[in-house]
Amino acid sequence: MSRLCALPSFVALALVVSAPAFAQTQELENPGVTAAVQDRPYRLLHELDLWFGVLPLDAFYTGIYAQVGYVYHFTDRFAWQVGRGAYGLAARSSLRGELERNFGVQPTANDEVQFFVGSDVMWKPFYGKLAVMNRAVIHGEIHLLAGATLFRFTNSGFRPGINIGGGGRIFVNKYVSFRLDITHNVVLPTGGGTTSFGNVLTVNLALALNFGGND
Amino acid sequence: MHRAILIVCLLVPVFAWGQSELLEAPPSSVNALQDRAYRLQNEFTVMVGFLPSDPYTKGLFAQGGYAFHFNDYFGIQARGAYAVSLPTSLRNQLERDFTVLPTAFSRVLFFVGGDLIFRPLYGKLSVGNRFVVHGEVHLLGGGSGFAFTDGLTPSIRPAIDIGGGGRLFLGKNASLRLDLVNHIVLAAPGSMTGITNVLALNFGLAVNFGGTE
Repeated sequence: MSRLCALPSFVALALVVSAPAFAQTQELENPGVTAAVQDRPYRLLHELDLWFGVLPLDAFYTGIYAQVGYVYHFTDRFAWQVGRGAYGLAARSSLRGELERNFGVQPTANDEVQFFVGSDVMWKPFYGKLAVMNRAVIHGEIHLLAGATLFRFTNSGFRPGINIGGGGRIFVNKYVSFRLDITHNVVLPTGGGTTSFGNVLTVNLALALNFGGND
Repeated sequence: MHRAILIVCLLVPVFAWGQSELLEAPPSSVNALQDRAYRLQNEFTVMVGFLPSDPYTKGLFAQGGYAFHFNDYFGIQARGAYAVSLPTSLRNQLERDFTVLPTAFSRVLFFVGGDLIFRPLYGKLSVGNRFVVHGEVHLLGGGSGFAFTDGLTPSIRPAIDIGGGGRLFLGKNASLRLDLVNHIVLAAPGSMTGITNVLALNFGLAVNFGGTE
């Protein structure tokens, strides 16, 4: 009887004793749990950007613009896009003609973005490298943006906006990289007698020239 | 004799220089590519998406799909989506102020299709220099059938699809996927309508079986 009572105790003891050993073998047989993060081969400090972009959101026109900007990178993760300025042209869509043709409606003059200037804070949490067809390696990073923009519209004049967005960068070498950003601007209902919020989406591609980061 | 000595003096350092070039091969020219940590084979996707390009109607859709990956670079997928439409302020204004009938506006009802998947880029990213995440970039090309309706009459139109996207791996069996595809919708046979572009932006969860095992 006493032997029968002791058996569950032995089994429980055997299980408890073997558990740490099992955990150790798990650690020994699974060395991949340690993530080795390599040092960055490309670092940024002073960045000069030459942009080309589009404003695709307005159904009546697509804005096409050129932009220049300067970014100062404090660390590998944080930077300040000190200033950027863009001037745009409007390519009218077929919607105006469609409204006239299909519905007999004559639209009023549309409010179009003429130019805009702004500044942003950049956070760069992702840095990595990609294998291209398992033959070459390219380096890049992903960043998030938040800032403010002052727009000049053709009808309502100057209006401020708050913008959030993000983008990516592919490094060509120490001095040259390509950058793609998408930013959403919420234009505030001030100026020009406007009473509603506006939305301006920007999609832009840049040639970025970097100085001082890797020196 | 002097000429021969001069030639020997010039040639010997050239050979030595050539050997040192071989011995000191620039290390930057060698790329060490690690094996992929995650591989795909049978992939089921559940996605939600947005159709932003119609000025009169914005669409929200749910999509399910299956992809078979032949190797690390190529795969095929089949997908089907059902969409609900939201009228824009322009459409509301036309209906309210200009008495345009709601049946004047065609909207996407559902669409099904298939694509070739080309995945040339695979990589890993450090997150805040603390964690490593794996991901890949892919391109898509294929065809779709689109069902449109104006509220009364449905119509089916073929489309050509081109697009791309990215994937972040959560583990061996799960990943997050973001796709952006432009559907070039052709005219229905015998119809007077022209080519229409339907842009689809979708995001979802992919469940993978068989690849990394």
